[in-house]
Amino acid sequence: MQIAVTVNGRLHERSVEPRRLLCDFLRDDLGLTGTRVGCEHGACGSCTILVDGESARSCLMFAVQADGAELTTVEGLAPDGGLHPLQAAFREAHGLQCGFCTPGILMTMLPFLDENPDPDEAEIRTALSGNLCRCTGYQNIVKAVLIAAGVATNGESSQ
Amino acid sequence: MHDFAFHRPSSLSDAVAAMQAAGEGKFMAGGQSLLPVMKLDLAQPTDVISLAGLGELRGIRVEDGAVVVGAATTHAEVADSDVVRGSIPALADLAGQIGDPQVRNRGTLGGSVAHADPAADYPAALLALGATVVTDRREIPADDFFQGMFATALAEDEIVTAVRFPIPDGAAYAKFPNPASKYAIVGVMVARTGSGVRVGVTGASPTPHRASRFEAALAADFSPSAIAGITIDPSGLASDPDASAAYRAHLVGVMAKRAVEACG
Amino acid sequence: MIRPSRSDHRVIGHPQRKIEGLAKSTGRAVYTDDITLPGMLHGKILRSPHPHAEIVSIDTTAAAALEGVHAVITGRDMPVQYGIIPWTPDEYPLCVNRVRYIGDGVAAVAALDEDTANRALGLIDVEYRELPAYLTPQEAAAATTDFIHEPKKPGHNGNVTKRVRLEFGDVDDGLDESELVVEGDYFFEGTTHTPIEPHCAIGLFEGDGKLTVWSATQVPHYLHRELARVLDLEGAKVRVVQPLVGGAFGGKSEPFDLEFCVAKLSMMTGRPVKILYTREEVFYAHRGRHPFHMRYRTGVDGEGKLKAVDAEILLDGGAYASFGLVTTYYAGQLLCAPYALPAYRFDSTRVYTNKPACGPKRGHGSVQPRFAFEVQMDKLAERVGMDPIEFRRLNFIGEDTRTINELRITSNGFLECLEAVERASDWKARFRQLPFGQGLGIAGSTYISGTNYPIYPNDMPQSGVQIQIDRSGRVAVFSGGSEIGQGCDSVVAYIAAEELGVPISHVRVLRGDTDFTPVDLGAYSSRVTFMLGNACIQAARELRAKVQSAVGEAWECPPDRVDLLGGLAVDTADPARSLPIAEAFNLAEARFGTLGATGSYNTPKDVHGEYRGGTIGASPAYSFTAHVAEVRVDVETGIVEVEKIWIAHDCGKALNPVLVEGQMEGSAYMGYAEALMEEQIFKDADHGRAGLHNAPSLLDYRIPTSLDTPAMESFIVESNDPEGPYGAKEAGEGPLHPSIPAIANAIYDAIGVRLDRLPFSPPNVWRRIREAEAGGGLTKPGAPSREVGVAP
Repeated sequence: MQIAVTVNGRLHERSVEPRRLLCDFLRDDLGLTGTRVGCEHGACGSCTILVDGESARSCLMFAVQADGAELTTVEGLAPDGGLHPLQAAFREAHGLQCGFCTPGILMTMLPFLDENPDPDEAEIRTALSGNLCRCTGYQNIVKAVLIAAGVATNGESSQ
Repeated sequence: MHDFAFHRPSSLSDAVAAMQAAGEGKFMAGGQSLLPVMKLDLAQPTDVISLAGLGELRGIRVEDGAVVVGAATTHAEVADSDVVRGSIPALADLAGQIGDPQVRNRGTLGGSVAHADPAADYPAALLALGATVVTDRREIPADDFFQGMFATALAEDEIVTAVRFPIPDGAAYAKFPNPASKYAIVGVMVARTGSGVRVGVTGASPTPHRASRFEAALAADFSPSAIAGITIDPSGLASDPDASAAYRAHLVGVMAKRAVEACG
Repeated sequence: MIRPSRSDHRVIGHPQRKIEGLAKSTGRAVYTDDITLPGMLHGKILRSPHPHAEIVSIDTTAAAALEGVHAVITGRDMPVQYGIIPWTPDEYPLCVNRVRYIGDGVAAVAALDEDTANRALGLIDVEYRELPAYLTPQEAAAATTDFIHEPKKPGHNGNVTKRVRLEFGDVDDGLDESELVVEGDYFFEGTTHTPIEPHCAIGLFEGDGKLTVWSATQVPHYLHRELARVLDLEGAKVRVVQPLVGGAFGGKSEPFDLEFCVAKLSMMTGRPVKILYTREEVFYAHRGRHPFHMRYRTGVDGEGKLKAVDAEILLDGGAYASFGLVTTYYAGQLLCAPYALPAYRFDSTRVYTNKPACGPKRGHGSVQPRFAFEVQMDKLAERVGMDPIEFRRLNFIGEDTRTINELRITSNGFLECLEAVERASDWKARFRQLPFGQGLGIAGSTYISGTNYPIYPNDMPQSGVQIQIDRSGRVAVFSGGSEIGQGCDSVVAYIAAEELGVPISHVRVLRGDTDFTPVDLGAYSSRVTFMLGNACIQAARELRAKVQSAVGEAWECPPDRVDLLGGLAVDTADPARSLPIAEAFNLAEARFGTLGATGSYNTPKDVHGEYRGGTIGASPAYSFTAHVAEVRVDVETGIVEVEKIWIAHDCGKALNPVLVEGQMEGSAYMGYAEALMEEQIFKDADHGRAGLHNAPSLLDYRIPTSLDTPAMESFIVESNDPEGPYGAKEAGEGPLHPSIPAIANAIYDAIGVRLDRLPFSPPNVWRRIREAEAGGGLTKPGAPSREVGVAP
């Protein structure tokens, strides 16, 4: 089946089987391996991307459902090779350990911060609740989001 | 997963026609329930008919003392809707407790209602609010709609287009979620309406149901203490490692009491 | 909160970024499944539907004939037993004669894509003869026939992996002389690691006989050895590459079927083969926390000092030995600090059951007994009328001492840990004084910083690092470490930067490639920072001395006047005199030749008990931890809400305090999860197919979300261990232990109900509340009656 999707601002026209999962399409067909697959069943949130600006699990969508949509993956967060403020905050605040869940979390927090530029910790925790992290205990993830929102600062890291 | 034909009809009638032409067809809205069961081969449709693009299924409006929510409205849209928040805040609260943010962004009211997962949240609201399920061909009262686990009054090729929720005098939803999936182990909505008190229970049993003994007691005295002494018979309730039938029966009482408290 | 660093280090002890943080936050980090090789095939493993059965026959003809299938293998293609512990090899890469749990691997296929491989699995015809399945350790221990493994000696029960009975001091006398003895039965339910990255491996066998395996493993070195042994290849022709690993927690710390299968399938097809576990397979691979049935008797004298401890432990091991021999010892050996035990006995038995094998999960072997022991401590403190923190202080073992089982304790910051959480939680004003339903609980623990003895006996170092310096001022560290998210690549970069005076951004770390990096034994038993750090310091200091010497020669000053810092070589007597570090390196290269050095670390081998098993539990240094947990219990529903955990941990020295805090919080989170939610459980015949995993999916296996996880506050205690790198000890596993008993003890403070069985899930808590109500009602326990140090 022929589909046309815009991924990180670039139009891709491809032929896919209807059963092709969107996460596999992104990872295997387009080589965008920053989107991770952790649980396959819509629980861990590692595969979260933006579909028309809203966070969605790419393991719970067929690629054909994305026909005509605008998708953003972690690779599109800072397309110029720099760092998006969210990415910088995660790096600064140690919001990651093994890093496997990180892209999904970034893609969940991106639209959240757009809609809630001044969030409190409880709001962040609610917005994060569809993304599992097994390393950090979430504390530094929440802190990173607060930093990205400009609500908190991280004066600790040097270098 | 087996392959299938994917259809994107541009109108309701085309969608119905596609279903009628299909071998083993499935309608799909957000896919948040259907896709997981397809991955497990619990559903193996030959044809998947997308309802995502149908404008007829969208929109939230107030009409004749009821909030009418289009079937393709996502849980997030219901949760955030000023119309719903203003008229039936308990319904917005319920929608905001479904799954997690990503599920709420894709999952739809119509999809949830048609899928009829016994642990879904919406059934409690449909029953407690005395809602009407509007389809492409008729209207079905909520009391007649849910017929068992994953079973509804819908015909194979019938499409939910909207749900009409009469605006109650007051309502509240109390939920005991499964900590992993966030489905309701027990969810209870209590609503005070002009015609009496209605209590909708989901999660506890294979079919969402109304708790008539609670309703009678609350009609006489709308207070938590009115139902404190009522025990629920655990026979027929769901039982699994997350919650035995006896525990679920107990939780129905606790959640009902808390919903009454929250009704104010 | 971080205690300010007391040293004059410029890098070490200060917050720094992780060196791979950029790659991870941009999605450019490469995990095994992100690798695609030209011509790569995809493999799948056929798994047993029976918990216990003999394999009568396997017919792979139809599968092999399917279009797109390149190879099919069965157990007979690799009939060599292996096991992570050299004394207990009891598994095959694929089962040869017998399957021992639902999910045991039977055959594997390599095909053009995963769908074809899955279809081929469906065409493999296996004939089984079912055998009786043992699903509980009690059934397995009582068995007389159809043992899960053949007995090692005739007449023995083949279901027993290992039994350890050790006694130190006279326990019976100690209990007889005790003023008070508390007895308790405890149960710790099994849990599993649940890394978010599923296991994945790629094999590539090349025409010259060289095998490369990329794998999400914590133990590249052991995998290297076992691949060579099982596949009968020369070790020198086997290469293991460890890409970034997306979480492990002990769940990737031994070879798994997929690694042997991708290797063998590549050897047969000549093409690279990848196998990625499904999430369901991750649950079956398991090697997680053993369920423990425990009975403790603990006696104290009239002052409240511990007199004797007697423990009986039954471990439910699952189908294979895994690390079980060590687990059986750890169940007893690691309990002898931070409290002085004058007499101690344990009788620990691990039995096989027809379920996925248990193994090491973060806090291997000692999380379960620590739960029971620290609840016993709470019960004792209450019975003697003492505040439980005072009770722990009274029984503190001290530093520079030996435990009753002859483990050498060096630095010990446990008292500071107790003090930190006592103060931060406002314990004195709130313990036993919060309203009904709210409570505080305390617990302490200790853990090893690596083991003195490697898994296979040898005298070689446990960890190695090689450093090379480039003329540009760039420093390359070839690290044996295993990066599983904990930050070991960063740690060697910090050390190299500290010692050689270069910015961290000028340090490159090449890690996890057995062709190029020295041996480190792997990321397990909290050994990495301690051992790898020491190895790295040695290599870096050798080079530092050369640079100091060459610069000193040029400056005509003693070498020790030359300091390397901030990208410069500086004359400490004349700070105006300096050289850019690259020029200093060039002087050294001109003087000494190409600049490279190796460093290694080996453990002390002379400090352990002189008894059978006395080496197990011996570590170069021990960490200490104390937690206070605050809970709120909803007695109507049984929901326990943990509002906060205060975590104080003696890590010796925090090389990077934010990494240490991350380990402390991640550990406390994982302990919290085991306390309240997690259960790796299996169906019995009354509830479905016996031996089938209850629900091998993240939609059912409950791990905490951001909403569930409590607030946490960390307090780093630095005791500066004499043997640790810059004084450091472990931080990655110790801080898990006290979470669970601290929560149990807090629940007791809240509602007066003891919870001696895990998990404290709502239905379990509700059941105990109902029992307590039926037995006389719920009340807040009374405040301690005794002043500190006053005999009754």
